[in-house]
Amino acid sequence: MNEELELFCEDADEQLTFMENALIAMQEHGVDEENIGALFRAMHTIKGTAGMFGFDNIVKFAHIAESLLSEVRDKKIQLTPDIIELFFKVKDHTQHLIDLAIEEEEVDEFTQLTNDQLIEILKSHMPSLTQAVEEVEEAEEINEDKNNRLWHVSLRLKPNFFATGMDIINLLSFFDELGEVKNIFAVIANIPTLEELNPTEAYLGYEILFMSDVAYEEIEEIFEFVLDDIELVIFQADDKESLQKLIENSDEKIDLQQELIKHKFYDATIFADTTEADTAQQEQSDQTLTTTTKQVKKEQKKSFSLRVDSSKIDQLINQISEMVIANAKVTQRADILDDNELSESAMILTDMLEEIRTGVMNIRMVQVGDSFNKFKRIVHDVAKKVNKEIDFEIIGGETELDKMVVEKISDPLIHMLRNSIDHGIEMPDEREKIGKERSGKVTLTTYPDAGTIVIEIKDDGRGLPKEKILQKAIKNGLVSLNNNLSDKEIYNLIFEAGLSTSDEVSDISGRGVGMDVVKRNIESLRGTVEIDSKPGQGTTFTIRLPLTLAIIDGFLVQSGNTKYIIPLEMIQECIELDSYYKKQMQGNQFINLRDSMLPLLDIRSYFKESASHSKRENVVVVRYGDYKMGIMVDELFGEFQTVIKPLGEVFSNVPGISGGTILGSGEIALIFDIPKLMEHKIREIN
Amino acid sequence: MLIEKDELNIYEVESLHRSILDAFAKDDRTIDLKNVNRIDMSIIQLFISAQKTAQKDSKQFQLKNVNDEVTQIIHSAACDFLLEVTS
Repeated sequence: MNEELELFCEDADEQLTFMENALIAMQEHGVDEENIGALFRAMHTIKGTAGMFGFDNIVKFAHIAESLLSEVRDKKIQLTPDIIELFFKVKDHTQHLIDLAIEEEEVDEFTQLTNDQLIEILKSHMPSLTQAVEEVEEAEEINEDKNNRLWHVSLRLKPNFFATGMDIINLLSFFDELGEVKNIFAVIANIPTLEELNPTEAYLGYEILFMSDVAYEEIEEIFEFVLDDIELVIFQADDKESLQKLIENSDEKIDLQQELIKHKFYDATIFADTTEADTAQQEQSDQTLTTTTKQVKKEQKKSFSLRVDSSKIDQLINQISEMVIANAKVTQRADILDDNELSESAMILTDMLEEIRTGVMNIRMVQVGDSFNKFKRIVHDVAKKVNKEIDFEIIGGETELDKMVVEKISDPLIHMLRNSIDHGIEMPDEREKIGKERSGKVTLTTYPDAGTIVIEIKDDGRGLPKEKILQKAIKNGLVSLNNNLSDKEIYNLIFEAGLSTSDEVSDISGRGVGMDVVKRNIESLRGTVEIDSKPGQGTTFTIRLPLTLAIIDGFLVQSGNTKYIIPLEMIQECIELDSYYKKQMQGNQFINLRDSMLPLLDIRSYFKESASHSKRENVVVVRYGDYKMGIMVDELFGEFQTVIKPLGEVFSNVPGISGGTILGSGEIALIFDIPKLMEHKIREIN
Repeated sequence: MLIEKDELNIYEVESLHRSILDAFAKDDRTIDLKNVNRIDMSIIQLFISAQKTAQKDSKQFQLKNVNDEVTQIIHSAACDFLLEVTS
């Protein structure tokens, strides 16, 4: 796919998301002008961009949908729940048409049938299009005549225009849609002869005389995507001052005035009266000012967002990572040399690198709500399919997470949401019988917690069938008959491959595949998932994800001969394991920390490290979710910017280690996988 | 010179430019478009440049066997003068 088509794809995706969000919002909170406007703009933009690529069937379909929305916007037609439902279908169908166009596939019979049916339904809501079409058109023509204005559009392609991938011929065809082109000629004076021509550069221009009832903005919109790549002047043909200015500013090798007369744009007499032009100088400058302001506004609007290939950001992060490592070497060298000035410079560099790192990381951060809003539609569709009533709420949509993580977590979340609705929530009548609200409540909550992002999916359904899961697991040989599993461990069995307790296989869930994939996907993001369920009250899935995947703030420690990194955000405090605590322990792996028992994990024995060379022993208290644990280490070195490097296939499954990093000295430090270490400790205690 | 391709666009414009220069050097100023069904603005611009070059040398330039589709594209680009035989 070429770059322009990719942009079209991204833009269409964005517009369809806007559309869906607007529809969902109106379905939930009632119809409002803002969302109707958003709906209209989305359809209008899709129509416009599809037209630029010559996707005629999309243009045709979008045009009819847009017409209905225009009527709605003008309050001629009321946006009923039925029409909202219809527009969900319109959105899906538009998406399908776009997919086909991009894949360069023909519209199949079924799609054509859906297309025709939807057009019929759309038209049935617009009596003006079905009743006495001719009369209406006639009336429109008369009306148009009243508002019609003659516009002069002058455009010159900038040399790099062809690189935009936009074909100017397609753009010109839009004038025929907006009104009537009275006169047009190509300005070819700047095209050199073959010897001097750079064929990939554009030298062309156009002068267009155009009759239409549209406003300035709508004409400008034709060139919306190429405004930076053309010089564009639009004014009403009777605006002599703007015309004068256009001719004055023309730096072509032709006499633009003569060309305009030759091509019957203007009568020669119009240029004769120069005095008139002088007296109206002020007015003209006002007009130009307005035009300029409009252009500035446009540019400002553009500067709000910029699409960048994510691989470029990845590359930048990699380079910063290498700089962090190189700087760590400089810092260490400065310490060895005892060079204060070098130390100071290295410290400044460290701070600056941290700022750059945070800045670049922020580019990748997106609000989860933007992506999670699409779940509303999925919940709505699934609920409808299984005849259940669902009250779905997204809390904490403003929480920010790495875009890549958001994308990768989407599928697992959809799967869990479907499961909650299909299996968790009871049928409305059943709910009523047991004293619950008819509609089941499903919440998707996101919040940051101790260097991680927590995503919770909670439903108030029937809860997980503990006995059924256990029986099935025993039957499948996943656990022995005489197991001693806790409730949590039983619930976690649903993440094992091939374990589905659903009696019926629906097309929504219950195929026995999925939950194991869900867990694998989450773990591949260095995340964890937990389940809590209460019979009759509901189930909560808690997913914890790291904020980022590339660089973390770490805390450098040593145990035996090995250096380790603990993610700083998870650390609560560091304490010295002195004789007071050692006495308390009496050979056990617990200490009493301010009246609460803190389990300890001795890293030296866990990783079979050699004896300590340090006289002191320390405990780093870490927290992950609801759990706290003390990690017993020898030395504490302090904060360290940690570039996470994968350990490679051989070491990728070492329990308790999630990666490695390179220290300034060139030594390697291993990064603790705190959730895994905790899991080990909990299992040991149990 | 006969163009073999079905579609001519910005991706072909540089090689076509070289071919036209070679053809002009051999006094061939007729471009046969019988196989061509689609062109874009960069190609139209190249033809205009070729027409100008021929005119400068007082030679005849012609686009030959232009089918309806390509004629329509040239018309939409307001460059109908390209379809005339010039000298």
